[in-house]
Amino acid sequence: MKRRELFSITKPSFQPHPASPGVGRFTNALLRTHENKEVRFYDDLIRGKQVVINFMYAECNGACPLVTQSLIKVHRVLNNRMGRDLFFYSITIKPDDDSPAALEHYAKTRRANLPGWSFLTGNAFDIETIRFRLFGMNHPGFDLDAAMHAGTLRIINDATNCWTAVEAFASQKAILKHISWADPPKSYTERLLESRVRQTLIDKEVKAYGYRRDV
Amino acid sequence: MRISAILCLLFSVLTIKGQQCQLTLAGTWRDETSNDKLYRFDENHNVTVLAGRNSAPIATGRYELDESQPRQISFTDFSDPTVLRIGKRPVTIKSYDDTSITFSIPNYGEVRWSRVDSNRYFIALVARAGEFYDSSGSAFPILTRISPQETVTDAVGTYSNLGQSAFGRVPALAYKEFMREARSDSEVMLRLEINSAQYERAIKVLQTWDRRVREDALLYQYQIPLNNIVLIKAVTETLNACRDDFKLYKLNYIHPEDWISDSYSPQFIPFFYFKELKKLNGPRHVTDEQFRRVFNQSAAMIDKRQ
Repeated sequence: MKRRELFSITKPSFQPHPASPGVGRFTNALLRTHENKEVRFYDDLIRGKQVVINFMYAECNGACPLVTQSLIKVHRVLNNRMGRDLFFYSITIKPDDDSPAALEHYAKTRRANLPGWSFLTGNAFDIETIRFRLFGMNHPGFDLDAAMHAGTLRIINDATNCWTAVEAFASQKAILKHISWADPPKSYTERLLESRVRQTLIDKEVKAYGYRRDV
Repeated sequence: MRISAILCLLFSVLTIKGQQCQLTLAGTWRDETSNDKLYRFDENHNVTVLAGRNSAPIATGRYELDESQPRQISFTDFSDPTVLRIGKRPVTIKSYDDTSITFSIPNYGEVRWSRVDSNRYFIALVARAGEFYDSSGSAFPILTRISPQETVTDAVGTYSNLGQSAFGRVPALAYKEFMREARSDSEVMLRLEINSAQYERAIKVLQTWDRRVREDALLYQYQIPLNNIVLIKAVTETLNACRDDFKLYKLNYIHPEDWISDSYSPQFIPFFYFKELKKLNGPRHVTDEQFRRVFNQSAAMIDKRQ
């Protein structure tokens, strides 16, 4: 690596993949963050970025706080990437009830007001479109029930046009693995280094237990 | 085990309420327990009290509801507070539906108002089979408002555009050929008379879907027939938001209760759904003859005015 590259802080360019469905699928709906900032869904939040999206609502006392806690743990692990090339978006399914202030209160009380994590509200029409476009299963029986998608995390990397999803109640390890599947492609050297580290761990495990435990 | 327990919790706690009955106060109401006194509410929170249908206003004021599913109504700035039988203090709304409101007044009892409307409202659920290449066909709801001044018709759904299936606002030429009784088993038409609140809720659904088509915001971008299923389900279920007025088939995709979605591909579901609704609500079907009579009556009123 050149010295200049090593010491320069380069801002990610957030270029979408040529095959990205763009505004046509994501919509460019006008939403509001919990900080009461106006944002365009595709242009400001998705375009060229790696994102994790889930649905929730502020007055929810059952599943939503559990999912939020799970995401806080993931955030802790990926702290150095959050807000740089990885973003979390929690969108309310009750936009008529959840103002930016209500979402901010939710984020604060759940200690989720963390960098790179936005809680979003907007108008019901746009949010329903986004919910169907990102979480739809081409089955009205499932799709019309907003609760069906509350336990799912949608992971998208618009720069590589990679889409995946993971159960929000899966283990932290499983969530991290799913997020890594959508990571930007790594160089040969990086992959070689990672493989060496992994092999060392495997060797250690085999030595300690007689077989590889971490699969 | 842990995950399934959490999922149970998820579904029990995160249940999003479906259609709720919202009080639409705008319009004219008659106090059933008094004489002919009428209360006319507008959307800007103004209320006018009339002694009778054609009388001049006897009092004007403002009203405020505490929320969208209100429990209280308060009247302020009244020009003559004595005309209000329900008093000046906020009054408890005991119950309401599309056509009536019951107030509970301390030391007095209950006061019931019923909605007064000179317009007539209809919904026609029409569908046809064997029209397109895959043997499916047009399927859409038609909403009609007949007032002494005009007749307004709206239709959104799947229709035939030069023999090709199209989805969106149905052109007049396309819906007019369906405004008659079904002529064979490959057609279905159920026409029901509805009230103004049912009409307003149903028209809102149609307007939302019309907007979805115009703004390229369809819920299903590639499986277009699924959009029509969601549309017709919303329109028909909205009719029963305040009370079980019509007998509805449960289009919920749960077998064996919903045998239609289990047996047919999406493009045929509206046709069989309307057939089933026709079977369930047959006695309330408004025939062409009855509909024509209503239409002619309103036309006669227009003639009289002219």
